[in-house]
Amino acid sequence: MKTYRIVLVLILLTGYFAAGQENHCITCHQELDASLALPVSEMKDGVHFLSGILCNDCHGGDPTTDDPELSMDPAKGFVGTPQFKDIAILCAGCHSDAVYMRKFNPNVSTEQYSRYQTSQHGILQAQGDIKVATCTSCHGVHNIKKVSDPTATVYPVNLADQCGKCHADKEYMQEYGIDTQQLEHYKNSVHAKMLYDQGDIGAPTCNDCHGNHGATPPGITSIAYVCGNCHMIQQEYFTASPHKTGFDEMGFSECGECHGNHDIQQTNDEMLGVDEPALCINCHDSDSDGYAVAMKLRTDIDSLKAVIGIAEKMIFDAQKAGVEVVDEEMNLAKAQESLVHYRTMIHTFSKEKVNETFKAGLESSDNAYKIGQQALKELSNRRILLIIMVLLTLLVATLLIFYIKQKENHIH
Amino acid sequence: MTKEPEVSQGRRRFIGWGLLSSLSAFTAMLIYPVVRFVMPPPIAESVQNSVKAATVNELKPNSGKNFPFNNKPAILIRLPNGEYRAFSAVCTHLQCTVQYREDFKQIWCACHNARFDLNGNIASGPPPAPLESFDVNISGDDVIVSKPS
Amino acid sequence: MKVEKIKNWFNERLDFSGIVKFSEKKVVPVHKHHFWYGIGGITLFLYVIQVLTGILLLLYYRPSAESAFESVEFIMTSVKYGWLIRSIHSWGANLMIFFLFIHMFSTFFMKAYRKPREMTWISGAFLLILALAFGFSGYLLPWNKLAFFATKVGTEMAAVVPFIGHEILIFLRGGEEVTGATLTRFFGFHVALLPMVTAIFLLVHLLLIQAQGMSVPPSLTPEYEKNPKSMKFFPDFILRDAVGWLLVLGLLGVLAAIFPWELGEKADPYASAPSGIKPEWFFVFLFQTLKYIPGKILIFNGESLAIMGIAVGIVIWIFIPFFDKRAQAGKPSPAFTVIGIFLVLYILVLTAISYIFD
Repeated sequence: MKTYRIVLVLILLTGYFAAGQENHCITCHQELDASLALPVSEMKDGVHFLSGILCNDCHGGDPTTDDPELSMDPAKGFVGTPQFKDIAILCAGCHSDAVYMRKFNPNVSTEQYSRYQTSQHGILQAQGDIKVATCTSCHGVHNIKKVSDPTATVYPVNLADQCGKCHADKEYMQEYGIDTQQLEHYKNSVHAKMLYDQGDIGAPTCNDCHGNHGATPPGITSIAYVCGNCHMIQQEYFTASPHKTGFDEMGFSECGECHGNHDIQQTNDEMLGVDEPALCINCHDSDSDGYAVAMKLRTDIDSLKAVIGIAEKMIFDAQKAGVEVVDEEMNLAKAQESLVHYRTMIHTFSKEKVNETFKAGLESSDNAYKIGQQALKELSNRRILLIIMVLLTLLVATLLIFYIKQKENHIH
Repeated sequence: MTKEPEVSQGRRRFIGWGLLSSLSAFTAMLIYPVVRFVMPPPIAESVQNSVKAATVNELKPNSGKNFPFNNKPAILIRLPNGEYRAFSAVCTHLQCTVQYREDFKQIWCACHNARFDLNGNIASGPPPAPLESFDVNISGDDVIVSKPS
Repeated sequence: MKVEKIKNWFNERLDFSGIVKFSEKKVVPVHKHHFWYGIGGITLFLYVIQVLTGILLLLYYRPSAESAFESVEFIMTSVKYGWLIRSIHSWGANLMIFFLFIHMFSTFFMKAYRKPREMTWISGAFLLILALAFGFSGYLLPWNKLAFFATKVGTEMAAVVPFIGHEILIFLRGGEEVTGATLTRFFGFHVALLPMVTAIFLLVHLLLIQAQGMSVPPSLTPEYEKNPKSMKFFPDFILRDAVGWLLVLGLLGVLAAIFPWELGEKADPYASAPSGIKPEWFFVFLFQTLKYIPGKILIFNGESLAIMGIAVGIVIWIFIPFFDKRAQAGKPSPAFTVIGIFLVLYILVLTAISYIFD
């Protein structure tokens, strides 16, 4: 390994010095027909070409001469098309060398190969499997782009389809005996919606949960931690809840048991509770503690929604009538916040822990309601005031009429 | 015949005084709301373009304060170097109210653990957009927060 | 006797004798229908209320699309008694136009427009148009959804005028569409242009009335001439006027209390129109008429023809004193009474149809 590395570095240096000179690999091959000229055209877009890493740096040989016998001489290190089992090692020659890679990007990671060796792909490949993925299977061969380049095969928006090239192919995957529905399921999920429809590249795709170089499904007992990388609070609550040990003991898929793994949908309140289509009753019988907790959690949410709805209607009515609603709106926002908070807290699956949030939510909407009631009362106060004014007006008018009549009588 | 003028005299006086007093009350009733109307209410403007968020030195460096601005929560933070910044405190994820965290010197949302840096930009978590930022000016002893010009 | 001292101070500087004599001499004929003489005064009283409440609202109102609605909301919720001043202004506008219609039709039926009072009638007709313009321009100012679309529909009618219709539309709207520019423009009309023009016409109208006195309807003239009863304007008639004004003020209070004027929702130029958009009630009969006109009459555009017809009708109405020859001669004129009745019924029926069926 070490010898090979030194040889490669020397070749690279040669290429580096030869940079000013013509690279005959390129000049010859681009004149050839389709399949042999393709690498040249593909190369031009790639990150290696732009960094001055050319044909000979991977394939060996001597680019300074246009004599095929000399340039493609095995004595000069020419390897031709590398064998499948050698590809990862070839790439690792540079990409695992921290000192070397520092030249191009001081922060780029260099553990891809060691991770790959721990992955399912790496393990099978070491056993001689040539159907699994190696570096070029995902990154491309001659036109490898930076991961941050939107046209790269492994850019988040493109990644799932790249994995799907094998993993969604039923025939191809038949001998491995694993499912090929994942891509389809994933594309149906809320994560896919965020990634593809909303363009949020923070949304998870295959590698965010499975790893990219160390690709392996997360084990049953670690799912919460994986999801928890983004969904921190829910993970914290879940890990402290009775479901964690319970699920692990029974071999249930932690978060996945309720939310699914690939086909994760936007959550809704219906998933919680004791009536169809709630998930809780799939396990909890009506006489169990869990059932009681599920019922309380769902009823609390429904109550909060109801009181918020009532307070909202009050605000709307008051506003339309032209009564001040400032404080009401602030209280309503607080109540709404409590509801959002409560929905996260259900992952504690504990009647006691959610109570404080529930009470806060009720209190805020109660305040909003009270203020709204006061506002509407103010409306009726105005009416009373005006009726008094009207009566006074009528009084003056009546007295005036008497005065007029009296003047007439007095004259006559 | 002599009785009639007497009765009418009493009645006259009653009507006269009744009219005068009720007319005065009536006029007062008309003038009172007009006088109250022309004196401006405590919040003088219909659309708040700026508001006093705090007094100078009310906030220590590396601390924050939530305050209402145009009926919505807003947050004033004082950086460790003493500079003031102000943002909308409505989290862009699900509209919870954010707060300043002195321990990690970022703006934090309790609902889903979102964090915003001291420029209001997303540091981590689910929010899709940064916090709206406001202008801060010191006027005498007051820290005034206003809509960006 | 402070009053005497003050009087003397003025009398030493100005000669009020003419005015005083006139006021003492001014009389109002007394007959079966003399009650109607007060209606014009009520309309004037309501106009004064509009001006006063309007000035008060001006202290807080902001005429731009960004802040108009909010400023009205501010008046309704934060300003002390803002809700009262605003409701009185909104209801006052409607009451004023209502009484204006009654005043117009009562003078019509009493043939008050005949010689020598033709100019009074004509200036009154212009005051009617000005009042309707006040109503139309003022309605937009709160910048809510209802007003926005009512203005859109109303100004659309202008475009139907042949040749210059589009120019009129652009002038009214301050652009092709109803926007903030329309609001600012309407505000200018409502608080400056229209009050100024109204002041002039009002002055003419009132001066003519002072100079010529009240007209006695032809049907009652023979009886009146035999036995002319009258009462002094100061203080008798004006006291009666005052009762009427007090009752109208009370009515305004009742309306403001039981039917407070709503804020509505802020106008959104990009939202689609809610169904059943109507102009204000005093335009509804015209709006409803247009709905019944067929799209095409012979070779002409139906709507254009209808609007032209209405315009011609308005012109005839303005100059009706010159059409009613019999009244000019002081004779009863039943034909025109019938026309008047027909007009009143037409307005009532079409307005009713629009509200009941549409």
